[in-house]
Amino acid sequence: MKILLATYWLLPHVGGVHAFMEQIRKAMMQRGHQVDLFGHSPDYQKYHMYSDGRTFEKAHVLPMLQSKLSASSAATYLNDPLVRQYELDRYCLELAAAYFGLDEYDVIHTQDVFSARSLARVKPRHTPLVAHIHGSIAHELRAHFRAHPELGIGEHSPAWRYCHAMEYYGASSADVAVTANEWMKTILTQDFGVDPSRIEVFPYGLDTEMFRARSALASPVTKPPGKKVIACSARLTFVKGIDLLITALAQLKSVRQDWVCWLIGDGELRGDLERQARELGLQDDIVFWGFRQDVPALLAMSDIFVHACVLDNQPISVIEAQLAGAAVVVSDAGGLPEMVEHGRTGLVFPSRNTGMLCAYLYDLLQHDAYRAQLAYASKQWAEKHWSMDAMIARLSDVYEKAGRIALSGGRGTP
Amino acid sequence: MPDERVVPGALYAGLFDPYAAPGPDLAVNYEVWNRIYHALPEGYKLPDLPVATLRLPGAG
Repeated sequence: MKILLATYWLLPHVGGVHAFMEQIRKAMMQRGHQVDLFGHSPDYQKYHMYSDGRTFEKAHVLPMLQSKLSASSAATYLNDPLVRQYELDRYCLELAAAYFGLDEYDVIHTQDVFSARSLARVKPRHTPLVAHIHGSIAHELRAHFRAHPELGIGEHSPAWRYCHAMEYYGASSADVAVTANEWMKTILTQDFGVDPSRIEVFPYGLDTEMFRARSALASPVTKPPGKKVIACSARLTFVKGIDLLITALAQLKSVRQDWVCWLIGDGELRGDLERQARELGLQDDIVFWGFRQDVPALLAMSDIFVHACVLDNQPISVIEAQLAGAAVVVSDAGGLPEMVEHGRTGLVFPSRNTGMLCAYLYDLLQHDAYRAQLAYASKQWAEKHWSMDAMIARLSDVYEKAGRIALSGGRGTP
Repeated sequence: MPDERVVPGALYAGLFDPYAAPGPDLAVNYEVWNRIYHALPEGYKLPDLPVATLRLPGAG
């Protein structure tokens, strides 16, 4: 079988989508399949077949698109700058995919609503399309709009409505859509009107053997003596709630100082977060490691892992922390409560409740046996639940199901 | 002598909705656009009108 894994987002990228695609590629190739990766180039100037180096310059088609669509009465929504950026990029993706050719693929597996919608419009009718929906772009962008009222984007704005349109048409354009949990499925069906019969739910998998091997690799970092490590690996962006974690750590420091916090990851908020840490007197208690290649080794040295996000789906970072044997504390945002059973495989605090997060961190630092018990139960559960083999088996079933649907004429694009 | 691979963009006007007027001076790379044109499925149009209308089930 020849499989195309496609995304609107960048390849390569430090984010979870690229890592997920690479995991699928590796697993499918081990099973004798051919796999190509298609996505945006890091400079945003091209789309490329990342797996074999073929490129398509957007400049080949952008002048034509801009000229024709600017003159189109049906495209007045492109007057909105955010919509214009996304849509022109999406049309470039469609034309790039046509340029590369899609006839040779037995299945197309997209990783976001933009590429799902676009490839549904340009693929051969008989080619099955599977759309993995890793998160809600509409929820993320709307959270951003709410946090920045100076942008003037409200629920009647074109950008707001565009997010809704992309979520619906992206998820509805595939023969089968896949979400990693019930939370994401509920969003698609209840908030955006996607037909639930189109959606399959199964969790992500992780190559546990590879993860263990990477955990055992030497790291130049050593654990500070006499301190327990509270780790958080995440992009330093608004939705990850790092500012909330820092606030909770300031409260924690007032009652105990036997810890250090490792923030592993980088992002647009790094400067703001470093400033927040300094202003709260935490500059010696929080280490901003930035992007690291040795995350598994750092997690293996960690006692506690925190994910304080305000919105997230099924973050790989939490899966890795569970497998690394850290006691996990997560907020109840998004799909996180489906990853941790409170009091058995970790602790779950109400999102944005920094006082509760501080109290849980205090308890875990205070009670070594309790912390070890939660970590042990979490690791045992994770080894079974996040099996890569199980995920690939489910994915292969979905490819077959999508193939049957496509052969019978496909669902068609709404 | 003009580059033989550059042709008027109006040749590909069929890809766009009928209200899109051609740009008067627009020229495009023939090889690129022709390859795209022949690979696109029948009925393919720009813009993506269902998305462009922004009218949806459940939309506020």
